[in-house]
Amino acid sequence: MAYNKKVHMLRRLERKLLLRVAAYLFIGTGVLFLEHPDSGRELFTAVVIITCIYFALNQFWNYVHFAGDPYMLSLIFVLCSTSLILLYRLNPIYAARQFLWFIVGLTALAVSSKINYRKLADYKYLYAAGGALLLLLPVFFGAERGGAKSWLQIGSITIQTSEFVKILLVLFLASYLSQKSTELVREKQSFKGFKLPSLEEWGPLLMMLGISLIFLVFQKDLGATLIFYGTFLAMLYISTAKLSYIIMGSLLFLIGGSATYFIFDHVKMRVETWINPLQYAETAGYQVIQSLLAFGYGGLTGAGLGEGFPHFIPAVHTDFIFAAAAEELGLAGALALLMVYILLIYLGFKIAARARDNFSKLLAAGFTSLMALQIFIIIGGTTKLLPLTGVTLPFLSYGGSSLVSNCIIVGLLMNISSTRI
Amino acid sequence: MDKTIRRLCRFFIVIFTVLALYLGYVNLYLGPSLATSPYNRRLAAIEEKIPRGTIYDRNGEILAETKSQKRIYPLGEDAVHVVGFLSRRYGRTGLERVYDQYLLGISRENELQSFINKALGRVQKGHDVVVTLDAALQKKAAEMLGNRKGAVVALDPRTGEILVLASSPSFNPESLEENVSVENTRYDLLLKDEDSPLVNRATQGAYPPGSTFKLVTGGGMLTWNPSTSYRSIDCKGEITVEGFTLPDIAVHGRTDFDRAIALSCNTFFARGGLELGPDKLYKAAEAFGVTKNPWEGKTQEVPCRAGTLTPPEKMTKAQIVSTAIGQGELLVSPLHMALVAAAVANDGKIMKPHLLDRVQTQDEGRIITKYTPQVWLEPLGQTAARKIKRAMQEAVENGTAVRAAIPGITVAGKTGSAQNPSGDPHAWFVGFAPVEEPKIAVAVIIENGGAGGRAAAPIAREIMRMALKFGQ
Amino acid sequence: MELALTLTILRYVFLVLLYVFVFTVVGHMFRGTKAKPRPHLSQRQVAYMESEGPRVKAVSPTAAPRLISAKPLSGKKVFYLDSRTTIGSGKNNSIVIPSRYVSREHAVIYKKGDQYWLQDLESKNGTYLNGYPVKTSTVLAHGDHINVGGADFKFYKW
Repeated sequence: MAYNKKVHMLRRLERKLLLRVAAYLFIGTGVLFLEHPDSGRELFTAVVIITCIYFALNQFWNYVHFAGDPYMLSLIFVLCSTSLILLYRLNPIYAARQFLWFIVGLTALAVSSKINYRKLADYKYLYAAGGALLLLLPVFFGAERGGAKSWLQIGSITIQTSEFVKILLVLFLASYLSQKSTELVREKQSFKGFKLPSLEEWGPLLMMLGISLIFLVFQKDLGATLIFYGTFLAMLYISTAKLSYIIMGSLLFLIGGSATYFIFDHVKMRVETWINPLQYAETAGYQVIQSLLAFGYGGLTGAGLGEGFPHFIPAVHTDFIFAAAAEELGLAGALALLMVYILLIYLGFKIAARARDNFSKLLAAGFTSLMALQIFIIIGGTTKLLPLTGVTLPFLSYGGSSLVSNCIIVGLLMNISSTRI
Repeated sequence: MDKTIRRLCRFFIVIFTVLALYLGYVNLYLGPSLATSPYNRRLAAIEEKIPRGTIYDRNGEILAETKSQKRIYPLGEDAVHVVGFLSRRYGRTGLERVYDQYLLGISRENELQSFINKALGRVQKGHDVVVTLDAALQKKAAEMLGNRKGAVVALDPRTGEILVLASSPSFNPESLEENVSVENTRYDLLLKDEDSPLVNRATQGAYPPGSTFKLVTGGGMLTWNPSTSYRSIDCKGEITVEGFTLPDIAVHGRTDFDRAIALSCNTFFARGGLELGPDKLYKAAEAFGVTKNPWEGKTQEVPCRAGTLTPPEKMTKAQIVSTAIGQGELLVSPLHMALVAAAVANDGKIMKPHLLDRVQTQDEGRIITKYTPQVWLEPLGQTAARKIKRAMQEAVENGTAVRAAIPGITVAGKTGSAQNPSGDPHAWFVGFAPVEEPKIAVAVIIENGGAGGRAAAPIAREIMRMALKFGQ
Repeated sequence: MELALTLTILRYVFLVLLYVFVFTVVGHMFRGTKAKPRPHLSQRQVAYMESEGPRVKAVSPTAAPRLISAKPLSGKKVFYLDSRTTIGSGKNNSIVIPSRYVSREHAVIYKKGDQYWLQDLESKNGTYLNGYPVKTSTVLAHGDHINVGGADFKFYKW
């Protein structure tokens, strides 16, 4: 049957790409092994298991005739491989823990790729409530890390709730906007020359957003706030095609942002260290300065895996992993990774454009915008293009919450891409 | 909706392209430009892996070497202002700073080699730096300065090779981070010391040159007023210009150029200065490089202070008279005065002063880079230079500089006693030897040392004698 | 020394492989879109219609959502869609297809918001949308081709 043949073709292409990545991963592992031959066995076992899981996922999809995008999985694999190698090089314990998270994440990916995601359109107020709850919990029970209070401790695991809230946010916005978008565009009222839709339609949306922004300000998680708001604007634009909303929204954000600059010292500090990091080189600007030095030391082809000094950067395994990559793999490696991210984003939007119904389109585009913003903000932060805000780099940074939530996002994107009918 | 998705996609691709371009800027420009920042711990980390090169003097004597992870300076405080020091906390100075990249073997010339070394896993070795300094002379100079504040500069006028660059008071380059009291390290105390031992007086000092500047005024007079060489004046023991009276040391009577230099006659040069006028007097100073930094624009081998004097348009007659005999607002460094002597010695040409001789690999001694001497300035014609040379020889044989005379060697010199606000005059001597074929030019200053002939000339004599005795 | 050389070479191979992968992906993506463009459904539908599908005249833009059958079914070719339109061999269906390949209650098209959704009712031979089997409820787009047990329909929204 034509359909099954098509699926086999897609999965065969996927397999081919996975093989390329596997070669990359094994060479990288070889370098790590030659540098520290004593702990080779665990390393190789982990790498073999990870590779097997990817191929197993490919076989599983082939078996269930899953017609999802053939490129996505290999792009994730190449990022995970790089992450594993860099983390192992930084500290084998990080790599070991992240290895377990990879297994959890891939399971989540497999599940989310096969669920009937269209049913998700029906629970929008559940997402709003859930999101608010997840944001609220850490305020009362949370642990503060690096100035941001957005972690939740459950037993021995700490969960960064904002990583999951972002999924709920996109789900909520997609289901809400897919049903209301026509009304939002209709412009019923005109207010002093500006035509605005009525408050009833905007109300829940703005409320949800306002609440999350307030919580984020209390949690001091600037990066997440920025990403949430950006995603909101992106999805609003997609569904209404009105640039004026985006401009208005950005202006509001700028006003709000400058207000926080004067109210909150931690915001002020961030901006000032961004403008002149050398002045705070020994305090708040230390990280960024060290990061820039790492980039500079990497040069074109990098110091070579294991030859750099990424340890000089605090939090190198989470927020600053890209600096470690740039130091050891150089501009060449950093650009390749950036290309992988661009491909991922391009694919995401392609899936959105090809999706059949508005909910799927909004969901795919929302998730993609979310990832794109997150990637841009943290890479921009580590290179002093933007003020530094502590967010993780999807699939590269150490951290279970981030990995699992991003795996769910990719699973849903693939799910959307598979339902071409 | 597809249209807006496509637009959004394009938007993200554009901002990511910008990010990619910016990444190139950070990796290849911004990052490397910060590489020498004191916050870069990478340099220290790399250094710990690289055996740092040795700094040798011209005769192969060690000036700085690394022994069991420690940097050792055999000359200690005698040469610290030139050789510099290495400190985690206080950075690096002197040759240790200027030739850091060579000493670590990570210079641009060596990029390919260090790449190959790294690729093959060879130990990256720093290079040896050979400088023109003469350790024995340097030690002698420091010893003779003793507790007195002052500086000694000696160089080879034919090439510009710096042989001695001593400054006193000095300090020990080792154990600067050691705590001497609760809140002060050794370095902190040096910073607070009123005698500023950290300053290299030989190149950064700002002293009125006194009578030694008459060489410059004389040079200008001979260049622009050729009659100076055969004219004589009647020195009455003082000269009055616009109500300002400049006293002379003595009534010299009939005085020609040679006698004026030999006896250091103020009246002769005051008149000469007036005849030259402010513009030409200033030009003469410029021509001898007094107002310039020999290393301007490039990496300075030694931090140097360019000399300063009243700009010509603001010079009154009284100031001309003072400037012509090296007083007034004129302030120069001993290196500058050594270069003035070198100009006379080298038939009017000043060779660019330098410390680097060559950089070579540690094992095979393969030369990485070698300095080629070059002319810096040409303030004098040959005739004028020879005229001054003869006059300076006369000063040593029968004039103010007799204490610089060395039996068996012809010496030329000029003394100076520079009036200054801080007490007794500074004692100056500049000179060179042998007159027939000068191999060494010297400038000595002793702060508040009194008459130049008494305090400074003997030091110069010993340096010259030692330099010429031990060959070349 | 040999170890170091091997390491250096491997480090570069590592970087090169990363690029090999990126370019393979880019290559396939572009080849995929150029040589064999996955056509927009409407385009594919046009091709399908031209080759074997029913010939339908241009429709007026104000027309209501409807299915047009390739062959007349009980004399009718055009079926306007209600909030719920059932398709099957059973007589109670909105569209009755008397065929042994069609299940009694084969498929349903229902309205949700301003969109029409097609759902297969666990039929024996399945429902196909543009050649793909319908497994979950799927939204219909203007110009979609629906196959119910061998009977062809085309969906018009306008």
